[in-house]
Amino acid sequence: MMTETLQHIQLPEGSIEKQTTTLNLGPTHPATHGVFQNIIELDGERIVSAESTVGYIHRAFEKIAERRPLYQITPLTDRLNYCSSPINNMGWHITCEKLLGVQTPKRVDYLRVIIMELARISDHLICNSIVGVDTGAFTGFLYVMQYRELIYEIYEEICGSRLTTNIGRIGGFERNFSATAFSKLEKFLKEYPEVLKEFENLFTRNRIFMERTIGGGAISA
Amino acid sequence: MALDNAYIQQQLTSRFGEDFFIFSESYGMLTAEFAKESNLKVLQFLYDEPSLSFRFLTDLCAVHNPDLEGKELSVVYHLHNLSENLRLRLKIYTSIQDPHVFTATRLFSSANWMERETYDFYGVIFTGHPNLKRVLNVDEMDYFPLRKEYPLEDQTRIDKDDEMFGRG
Repeated sequence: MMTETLQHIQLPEGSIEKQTTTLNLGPTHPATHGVFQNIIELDGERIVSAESTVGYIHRAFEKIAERRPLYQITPLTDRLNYCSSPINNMGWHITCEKLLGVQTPKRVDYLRVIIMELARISDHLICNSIVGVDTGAFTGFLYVMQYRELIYEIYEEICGSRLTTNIGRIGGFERNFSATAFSKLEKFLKEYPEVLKEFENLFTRNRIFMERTIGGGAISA
Repeated sequence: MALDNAYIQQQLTSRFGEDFFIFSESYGMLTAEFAKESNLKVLQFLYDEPSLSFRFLTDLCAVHNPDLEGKELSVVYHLHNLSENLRLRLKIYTSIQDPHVFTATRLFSSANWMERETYDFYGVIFTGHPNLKRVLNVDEMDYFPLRKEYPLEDQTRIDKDDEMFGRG
């Protein structure tokens, strides 16, 4: 057999002579869901340029929302950021209420704030503890997961689901919070501050964590 | 002095003239519509003027209005003044036959991908953009999927026999 036919890899013109390295990073995702490919041009360890492909993952929510009734869009807003679905749900409800001119009862506003604060805390637990995992500390992640779990139990008590909550309705909530929900809330409020303090002690002044995070990740707007 | 919609309106009219803008205020947010050729001048003025300093581009997207003759596509800029926490909406119209708009990437780095997305889904061509190609769809795609000529399938249709997806 002739040697030319065995040549499968076609190198681009001039690629042998050039001084930089081209590296295919991915397709992978910083948080393992979906795909994210970077073709980067390296000069030693310095990235000279990068070509990013964020993946073909557009879900056309805008298009779907053109047709369906308002209440059918709420489950889609869960999926926009599934670490804090309730906040997205509330964002949608409040937008619709603004458009419809609906005035919600005071109690609804308070319950919404409670549920959104819980969502914010659980979301920040995830992102902060995942930074820990990515910089080499698994302990903190597993430790705070218990309290994310408790928050999810509160969601479950209120709306019946844990991750993609579809919580609340346009104009209020589907039902009042149960007594169990409030007792779980009390438990969370009592125990969580102490846990957060321990979690912070584990990270913020930790030398390894500091060396791996300080001075990285600035993005210009 | 706290920044408010009336002040922005007054600043913009004194800089660009009476008939330059069409103002409207919906749900507390000021919207200024103007000719598409001046988009960079307006953005630059809002960025530079110290009493306004809209230095953050929150969102850039397009809207397709097939019924508006000659103004089928509109490009919408959402600006945010972070120190006063005030938002402003700018709107420019362009025809679908000539969907050319100047790029805002020189002013806002964040406009880069948002303009690519707007091009990808609505076909607005941003003149001067450093890398105007599709960002979320495949490069081979030859249409702009969020335009109104591609409606969502009617969910009540019964002519489709599809066991796997619960129809038929």
